[in-house]
Amino acid sequence: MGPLYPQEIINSEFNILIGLFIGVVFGFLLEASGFTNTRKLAGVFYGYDATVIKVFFTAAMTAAIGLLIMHYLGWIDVKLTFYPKTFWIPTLVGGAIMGAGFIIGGFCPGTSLCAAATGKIDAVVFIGGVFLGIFGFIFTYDSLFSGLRMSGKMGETDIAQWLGISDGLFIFIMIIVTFASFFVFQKWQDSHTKDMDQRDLNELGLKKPE
Amino acid sequence: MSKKRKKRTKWLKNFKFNKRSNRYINPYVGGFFLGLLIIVALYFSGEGLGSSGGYRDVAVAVLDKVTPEYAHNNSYIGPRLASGESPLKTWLVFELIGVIMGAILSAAIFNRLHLRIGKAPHLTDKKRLLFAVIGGILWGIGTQLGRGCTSGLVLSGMAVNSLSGYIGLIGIFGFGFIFAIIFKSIWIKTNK
Amino acid sequence: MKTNLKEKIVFALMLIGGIAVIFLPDYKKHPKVMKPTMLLEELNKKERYVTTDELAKALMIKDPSIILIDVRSKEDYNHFTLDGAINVPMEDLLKEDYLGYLDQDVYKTVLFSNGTSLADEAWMIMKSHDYQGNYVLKGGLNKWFKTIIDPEKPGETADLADREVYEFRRGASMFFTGVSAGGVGSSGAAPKKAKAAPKPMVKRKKKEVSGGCG
Repeated sequence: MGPLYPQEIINSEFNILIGLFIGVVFGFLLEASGFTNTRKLAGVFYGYDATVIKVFFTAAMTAAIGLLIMHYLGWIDVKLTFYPKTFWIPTLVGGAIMGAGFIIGGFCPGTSLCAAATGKIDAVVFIGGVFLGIFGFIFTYDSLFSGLRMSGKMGETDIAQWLGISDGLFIFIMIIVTFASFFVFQKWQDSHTKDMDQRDLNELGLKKPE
Repeated sequence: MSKKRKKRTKWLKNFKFNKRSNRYINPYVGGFFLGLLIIVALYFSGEGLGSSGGYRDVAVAVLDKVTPEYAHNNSYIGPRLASGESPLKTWLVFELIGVIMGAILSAAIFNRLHLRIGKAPHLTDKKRLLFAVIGGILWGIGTQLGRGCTSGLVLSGMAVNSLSGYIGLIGIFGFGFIFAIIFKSIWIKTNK
Repeated sequence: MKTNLKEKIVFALMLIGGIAVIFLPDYKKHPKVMKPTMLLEELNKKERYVTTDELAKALMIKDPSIILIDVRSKEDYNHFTLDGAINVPMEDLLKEDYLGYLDQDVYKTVLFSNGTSLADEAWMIMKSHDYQGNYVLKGGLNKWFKTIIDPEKPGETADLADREVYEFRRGASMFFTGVSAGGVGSSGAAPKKAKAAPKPMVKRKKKEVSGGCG
């Protein structure tokens, strides 16, 4: 029964090897989906490219459904996995900072790594910035961030249980929301692409709506 | 040559030699496999897909090399060095090495390995690089404060119905849309 | 919106899966039973013990992280128990009502009985179900009385350390009984005051995974 490594069913060397393999597939999927193209990433915020929303929500919902079913069948104990503890204040503040970074920098850490690996110079510079930010955070942690980072502690909170509904129902609602967002973002994208230059369309790997 | 083989080479040709267009896989199919990958990662290693954690591990290792005393006494990263194990021998770091390999593999197959600067056409290279470094710094701070990035915090968090993941989603994408209005000129050519 | 076959398959899977999961129960910890060899190993560790002196010290400074659990029968508990203790008889140990106290990583739960063995058994049963955060009061209530409530005065030849221990215990005795040591009879039970029970915690996982990010 999973997860295997936290229960010491597989050893740490094998675990790290699996990490490498998962990374390869992860990197492949990100690149193949177009996440190394910074214009595609930014496109979600301006409506001309819905790829990020499509990939992101499909992935999250597929995993959410699969994990709940596997948990029910006893194949995996989700509570033994990396289950994020909620600290809502720093996560919201940090999220806002990341949101600004997303718009200004045009990447997130994972996609920038893929982009840098495939020869995007701006992504290399972006990664340099990320390290600057992390070093800055480490150096100023005690004086600036330690209180904020530990505030709003809620433990390992499940959003469905927090809302007072069942996990399955929450996932179902999210899937409806997901489908609705696909529809809306597709319409938004179509409204842009229908009078976009062919050059831009090629760069984004998009087609005009038929 | 069998018919099947022929079909396959034709498929490859489409990707390899069609230089004029960027071809990406179907986003829903890509997302579906990404979702399965999250399940695999959680099943074997109990880890969510993440990036910023690996970045931090690298930063910790660098500090440990340069100023070991400071690194061990720092209240944020000191605990990570307490075990004596190399901070680089972590699942996340190896996963990131894999990400680099996977991205290169995909870009090679789809003929996208070019040295270039990605940006909106109207923006100068200098400006783009400046914005990239600013954005990077913000991510560096934001990930450490918010405990993860788009993949580790939000994607993997949403996969296990964690409140934290959804707060991260609201933070990054919700505020992202607000900042998108402010910084529109970076991505969209405005007629001024 | 035009969709091709691949997309239709993905959408259909998501929709079917989404409907199916509505009928599934919530995420809950799977019951897990430890292997006997691992359990034996745990049993040989002495870290689970808390001495009466340590407990007295913690109670005197009103350490909020301490929860006292009386694993004896209801009758014994009603007859006498330690101030603020919660009664969880052996047969109720694994009931879900007590999960919030007995399996968590916030409080230090100290189990006690008259001696050591009953509390130790309780500890082992819970350990075999992988409960966390539990400790055993070494010597139990008997030792508590002998050392804290009615400490034995060290002889004239006793060394300084012993005297210090005695001084501490005498102070503790006064703290718990309100009477100076020596003046307490065998019935010197601390009056049972109603103390607000700590809030049960819902939680847990055992091995820390480093966490996807951050």
